Amino acid sequence: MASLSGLSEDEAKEFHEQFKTTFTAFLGVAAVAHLLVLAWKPWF
Amino acid sequence: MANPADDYKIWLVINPAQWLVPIWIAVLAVAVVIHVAVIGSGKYNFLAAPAKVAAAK
Repeated sequence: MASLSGLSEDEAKEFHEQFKTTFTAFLGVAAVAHLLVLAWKPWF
Repeated sequence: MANPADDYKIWLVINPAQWLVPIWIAVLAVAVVIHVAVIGSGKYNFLAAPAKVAAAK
């Protein structure tokens, strides 16, 4: 059965792996940025 | 249906070839709004901050 997006199960899983990798890297950068702000001027 | 094991199924509903860039634009928009709010907060105006730090030396 074709999916709504047209992707197959395997394609969806393959893309999701890359999406998780990139999103994890984004979170890492954001975490470092927040630590730097915390060192500069704690907000709590 | 259990998460995160079934998270990948979102891509069976929305096609990343069409929606990945709009998703990035939405994330960028959120980041811009938050940065504008932070700069507007005065206490955390990281653009105006260097003046005081230089004076502190």
